[in-house]
Amino acid sequence: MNVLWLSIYAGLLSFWRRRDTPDFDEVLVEFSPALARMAASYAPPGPAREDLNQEILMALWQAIPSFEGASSLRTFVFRVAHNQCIDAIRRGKINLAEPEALDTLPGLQNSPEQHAAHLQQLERLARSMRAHLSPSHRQALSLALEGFSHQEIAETMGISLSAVAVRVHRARQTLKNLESEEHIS
Amino acid sequence: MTVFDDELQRTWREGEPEMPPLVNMRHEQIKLVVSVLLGGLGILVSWWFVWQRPEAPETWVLAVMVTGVIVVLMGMEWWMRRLMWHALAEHSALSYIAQMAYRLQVEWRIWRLSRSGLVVVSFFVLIWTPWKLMADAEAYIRNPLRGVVGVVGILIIFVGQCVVLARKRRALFREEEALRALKQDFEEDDEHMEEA
Repeated sequence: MNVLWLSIYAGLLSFWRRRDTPDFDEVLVEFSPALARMAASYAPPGPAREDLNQEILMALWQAIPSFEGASSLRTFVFRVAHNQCIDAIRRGKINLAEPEALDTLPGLQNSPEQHAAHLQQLERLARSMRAHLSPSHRQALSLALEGFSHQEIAETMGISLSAVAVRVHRARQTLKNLESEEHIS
Repeated sequence: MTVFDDELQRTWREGEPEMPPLVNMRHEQIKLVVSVLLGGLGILVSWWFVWQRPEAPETWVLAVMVTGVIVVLMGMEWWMRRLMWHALAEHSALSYIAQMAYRLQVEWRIWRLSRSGLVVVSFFVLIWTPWKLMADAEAYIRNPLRGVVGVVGILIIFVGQCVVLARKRRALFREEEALRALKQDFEEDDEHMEEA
């Protein structure tokens, strides 16, 4: 329902959107895998993630005409996407308190074997991030894994460089500890 | 970079979940135009019926008030969404959280205003309904169904508004809680780290 409202607003505003901005389809081709990974770190597989993905795309589609080149396109895209995720947390679309069932991984039956294996590993990682990292730690780590510099992460998140470094380090450490525990058990 | 970091990086980069295709904008635009036209038609038909009722000339005042309130609320919602679209693209996460907190304050003000409005309308209805029933007593005795429909209709509208306000209040509390947690996560931790 919310997606419908978003699309109605976006549709209304599209009548006067500017033409001299990055092409949305090109942005989509370049960034959609990274955006899908980011959404995986916020929402479990299923309708919640599908809605989040759709909302991120809608937000980008809406925001791209206002891109003026003050930052790189990549920073702009991820800022919009992460802010949209924060918005979803605010609206209760993503429930941080609710524990996830451990056996819920997406249907991988139709994927080629190797791709499915990579996807499953990513889902495990994303599930650990959702379960054990706060939104700010998740955001810092996912941006770092996408190859953002600490300076870029600080700008995207609005926090200091030292705070970025500590968050990324703590997030890595948490995941490392989890992996060690899994090996032991 | 440690072995674990390498593995983490590889796992992250090599997993490529698919992004769903974006909803078709052209279809959404057509839907939008059709819904606006249908909405306009609905309002025109309602108004035509209101004007065609000579036995209740005072109802047009109510119709103007209801239409006005709907238009104002829709306008405010649109304006707030425009602000949030802008904030989404222009602000960092922390700054965006601050913007949302400001928006929440505005929504609380609107909610309190709506609650006051409901109290005033309830008071008006409490006086107007018995007066109307007494003034048109003969007509209602001749056709009791009309009175029943009127009273039940008013009750449904009143209870409906109460339910909407209560639901909105719960949603606002939930948002407030989520925003507080987010702010703490992004802000206080930062201060703590700065000290460290």
